[in-house]
Amino acid sequence: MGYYHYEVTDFLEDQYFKSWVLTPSQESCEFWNNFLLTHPEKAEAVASAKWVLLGIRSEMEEDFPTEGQVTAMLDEIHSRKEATSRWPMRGLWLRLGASLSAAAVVLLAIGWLREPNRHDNHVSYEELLSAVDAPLMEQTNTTTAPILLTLPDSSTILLQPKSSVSYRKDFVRNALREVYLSGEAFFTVTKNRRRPFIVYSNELVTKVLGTSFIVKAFEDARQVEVSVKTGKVSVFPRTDTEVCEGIASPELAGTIITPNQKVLFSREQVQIRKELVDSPEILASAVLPAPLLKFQDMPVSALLGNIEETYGIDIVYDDRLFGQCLLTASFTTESLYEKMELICKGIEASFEVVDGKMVVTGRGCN
Amino acid sequence: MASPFTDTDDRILWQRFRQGDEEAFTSLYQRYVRVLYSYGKKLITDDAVVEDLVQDLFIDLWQSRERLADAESPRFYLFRSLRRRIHRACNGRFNERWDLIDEDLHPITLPKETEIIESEQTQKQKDELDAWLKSLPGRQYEVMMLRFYQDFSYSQISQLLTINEQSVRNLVQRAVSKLRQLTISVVISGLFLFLLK
Repeated sequence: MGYYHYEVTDFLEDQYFKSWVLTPSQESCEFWNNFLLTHPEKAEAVASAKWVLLGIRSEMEEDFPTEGQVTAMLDEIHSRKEATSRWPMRGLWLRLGASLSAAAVVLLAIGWLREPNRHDNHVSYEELLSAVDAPLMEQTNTTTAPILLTLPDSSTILLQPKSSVSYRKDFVRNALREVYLSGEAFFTVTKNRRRPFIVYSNELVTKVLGTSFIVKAFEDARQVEVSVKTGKVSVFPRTDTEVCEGIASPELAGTIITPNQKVLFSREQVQIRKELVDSPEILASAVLPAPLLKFQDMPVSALLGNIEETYGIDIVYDDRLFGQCLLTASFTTESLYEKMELICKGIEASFEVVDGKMVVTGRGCN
Repeated sequence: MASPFTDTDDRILWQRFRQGDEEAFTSLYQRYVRVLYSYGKKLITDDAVVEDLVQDLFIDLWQSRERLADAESPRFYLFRSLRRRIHRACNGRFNERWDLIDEDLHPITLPKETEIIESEQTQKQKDELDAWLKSLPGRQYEVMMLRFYQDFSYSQISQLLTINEQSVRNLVQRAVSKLRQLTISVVISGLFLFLLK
């Protein structure tokens, strides 16, 4: 064979070469080793082509689903494949149908859960636990200092006094990482997109893929609070029909909060409100720009943009009014709110926090 | 190779499945679910979305089995319908991400245990090649993968990507020539070191 004039592409296209690289046999090994000995000038091309084939293969195999996933998907396919065959319902409709039926199941479960006190919207920790049909592990902090717990997936929970957490004994094997909380805890969740981490606390459900956040949900408190330190979390009220879809869905559904934001869930009004945390901090990140400390004749839009990025918050303002205002100042250890006050003073404006965003209003400068 | 199953085997399974043979349907699933899934993962990063799309693909396949034609290559049929589904899903909600994938660098985890010919420069060369694979734009990577891992013909790839055959060849050429530049620079720098000694 005329392999001596082959280039990388020719080797790649050659079935015999491919079969040697991907499924070597004694015969093909002998042939190619011999070829390399007699044509050392082809070593480079052979090595490159070989690497391309092996590289792409290992690249692809790295993303193979686990055997568990393969079986779970097949089960799902078998259970759904007859369901709607009379209708030409396809794709999205099928999914919608499936999620609606899942919604119905969870609603039923919630209905049952709440039956003892039908007129009371409150869901207690005990009620949450009684709805779990698997053996649970429970940890309660009866001391006066926070205690640090490590879950089987190496996520950690800093449990505050007078607080308890429970999780299923088969936490590791379960498709979702579910934790039940009463009281306050700071969660640092290890990243695993395949297995969302869910915290049930009173009537609020918090779902994350990997991040750190605080949940405050005391039995007798009037609101449940979730605030984010790093990453993104989504929260939804337990009563919400979104809940089942939200938990199962790949995206973070419901109300999404990002660092420096928190949500307050009013247990009376069953309502979620987004706010900023009390003292927003500059995000620690290598990819974000550095916070501006000293600036001279800087357009306000650039300054606000920098604050938005370094704190990960949204600032709403009218660019036509304020965009061209110039400021000269320097910051040292001011908090976010102090910085905003200084800026607003400089451009004769005021600001307030609405729905987790800073809204700047005023007459602007000409 | 990626496909240890011949198209003939597949066609027999396909015929049996169209007549309602669940076993044949399951075999087709077992044969292709892994490669379809990992192909999907290259186009959409979200595991759960890929899982959904693959599941829906097989569910719809079963439900429409009586209307399906005889497929020349069932494997090609499966890849094409998965890609269409992904495209559709992307046009709606994942538009941005799709665009990014076409233009930007391919998110790649590097193979760790790939050995090439043992020599002093192996490590350096391997690093360069790793970087090459990593730096391929999404489309070039996809074409390389479909041609040299999935063994699809140029004409099949052109149908999959809905571009003409020449464009597919060009994409392969571009990816390979980028590789060649790299290799040359490695060889030259190797030579240079040699001269310095």
